[in-house]
Amino acid sequence: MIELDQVSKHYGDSIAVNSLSLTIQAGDFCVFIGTSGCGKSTTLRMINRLIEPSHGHIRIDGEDIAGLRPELLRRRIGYAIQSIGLFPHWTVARNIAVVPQLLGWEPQRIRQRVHQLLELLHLDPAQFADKLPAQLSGGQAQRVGVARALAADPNILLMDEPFGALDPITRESLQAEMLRIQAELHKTIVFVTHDIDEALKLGNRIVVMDQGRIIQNASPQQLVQHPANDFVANLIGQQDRGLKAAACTTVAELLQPARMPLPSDQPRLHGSDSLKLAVSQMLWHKVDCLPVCDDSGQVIGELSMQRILEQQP
Amino acid sequence: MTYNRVILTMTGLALAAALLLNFITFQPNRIAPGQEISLLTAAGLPATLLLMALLGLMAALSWRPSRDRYLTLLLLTTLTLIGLPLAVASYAHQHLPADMPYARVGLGSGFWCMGVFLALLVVETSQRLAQQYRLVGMQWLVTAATVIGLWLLGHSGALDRLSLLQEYSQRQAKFAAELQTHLLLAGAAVLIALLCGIVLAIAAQASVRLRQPLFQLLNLLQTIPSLALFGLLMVPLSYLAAHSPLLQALNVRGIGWAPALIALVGYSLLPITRNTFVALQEVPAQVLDAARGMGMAPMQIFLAVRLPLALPVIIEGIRITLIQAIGLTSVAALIGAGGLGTFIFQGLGQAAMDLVLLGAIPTIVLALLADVLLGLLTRLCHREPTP
Repeated sequence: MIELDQVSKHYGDSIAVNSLSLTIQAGDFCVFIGTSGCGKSTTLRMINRLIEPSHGHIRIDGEDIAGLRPELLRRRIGYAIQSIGLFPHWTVARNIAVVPQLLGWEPQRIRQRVHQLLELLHLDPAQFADKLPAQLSGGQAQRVGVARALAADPNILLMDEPFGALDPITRESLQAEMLRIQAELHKTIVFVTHDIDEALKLGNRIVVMDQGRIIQNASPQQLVQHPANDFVANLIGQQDRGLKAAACTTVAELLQPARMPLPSDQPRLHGSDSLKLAVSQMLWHKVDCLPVCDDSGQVIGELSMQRILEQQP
Repeated sequence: MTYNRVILTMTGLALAAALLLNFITFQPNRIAPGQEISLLTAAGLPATLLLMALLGLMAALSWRPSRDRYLTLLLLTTLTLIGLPLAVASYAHQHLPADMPYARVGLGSGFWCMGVFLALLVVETSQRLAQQYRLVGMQWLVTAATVIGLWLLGHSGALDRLSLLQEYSQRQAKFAAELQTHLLLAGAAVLIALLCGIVLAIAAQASVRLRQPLFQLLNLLQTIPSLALFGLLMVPLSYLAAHSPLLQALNVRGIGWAPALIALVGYSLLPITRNTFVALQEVPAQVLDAARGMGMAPMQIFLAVRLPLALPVIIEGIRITLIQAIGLTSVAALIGAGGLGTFIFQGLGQAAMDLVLLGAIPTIVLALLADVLLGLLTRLCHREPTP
């Protein structure tokens, strides 16, 4: 659990973060979003003391971090930035091993951990361990960046616009990767972005910031359906908020028992698909009901347009 | 392209130099003006025809070049490069009167020009071999073969009547001592400048306020002509030495090694400090941010991340500085600091060009050697990713 208690950061007369209070529960995927200069990155960097707050306290699991040595604190917290943050003179394996080495792990244990992380990020260890960052594609380098942040198995992960420099396709695959890893590892993640779609897709808690203050702190559904003010409403976008809301709900949440055998040649939905995808499929195939199956391909129910409309406010 | 124009041009120029310029000069003694002698007179008809044939063959090899033709070309060039001094030796052996012990052979413009054109030929050929046929480093093989050939020739005594070697043999002990002084002066100056430069670069990097005045001062230092700087240092050093027994014991005086070393350090500071500063500055901010965010301590960040990433550019700075210092040290001979410049200034004073060459050629060789060795080190540091 991370608690920010009336935290402020001043640079001379300008205020980057203004008396901000926030509690991030263990296991939360908390996304800070806002325009550039709103203080989201500053807030993130105060959590591992890359920036010292001017006022206020930050506690991790009840312990005030001001009393810890910054280096020791940072080794306990995963930190990922854009892929250019990899050490260009070290191999992929050595990049990932940085924090375990700082913590003085046995070489054998480090090797195993590096191997395990490369596999977790779907990078073949035999192929990638000895490459230099310059030999990787943007997506591969970013996977290494995430692996490096996870290396010492920290409870908390800080990610500062990690996918900002990637092309849309690579970014989507890495976002899916992050969701998979989070479902597997249940870290407490603080994630900074300026992309609302990324925020809605990844976060289970979204903190909208402007001028150093929190404007709204809500779940993605709440944020889309009840924006606190015009600023949040504009951020989400007025025209396509219906689709954005649909993107926040999964098919599994509205699953109905199958009423009748559906034609087998129809496309099928997965429980983990979003309502946005379900609506898109129905529009494309010109049907108002689709079967839903589980991972093994077994039909477990159905979803109709009627049901989706009933659920939307 | 069906023929290599560079090779054709170089062989043509070498041929012209062989036929039109004087190959060697004959001097009855050290300072008497030389008598110009052509290749035909010096080497005789058979040897001259052989050289023509070799050059003609080389020109022919420039047609439709292939790997084997380039390699043959290199072999022929090496043979010619060793053959030229051999021709000089044979002339000295046959024509120098035995009753004139001071008579000597000087190398003429034809000899030097042919040497230069053949060297350019080696450069072109080895570059082609490296680029087109992935045969790297042939120029070093040729250089080594030529140097060994020349050394064996010199060692056998065949070149003893060559004026350059006569100047050398009269001063063997002095040459070794001056060479050592030269290396010590240049090396010590760069080493001291390196230590100071790293400290200054780190300071400049940490403090923005220090940066501008520091580099202005170093720039100013660089613009003072070397002779003027030596002169400027004489007065304060003489004064200090006169009032300090410790400095006297160290043989510090207004002239000699002390002002030379101080001036050389002064000139070396700017390139080393600037390169080190830029190198440290150019390390990407994101990499340093990541290093801090991972929990590295400031010293670890400097030693494990910042310095290794800056190293190639820092070594590049050392390379430039060392070459500059080797050249500047020649001037230091003027204020009695010794070094290879001693021969240059003596030779100029006595109008003995071969003595000037005795100082100049080793200085150039030292500078080239420093260039090659440190260039090699830079490449090792770069660790280019292999695709």
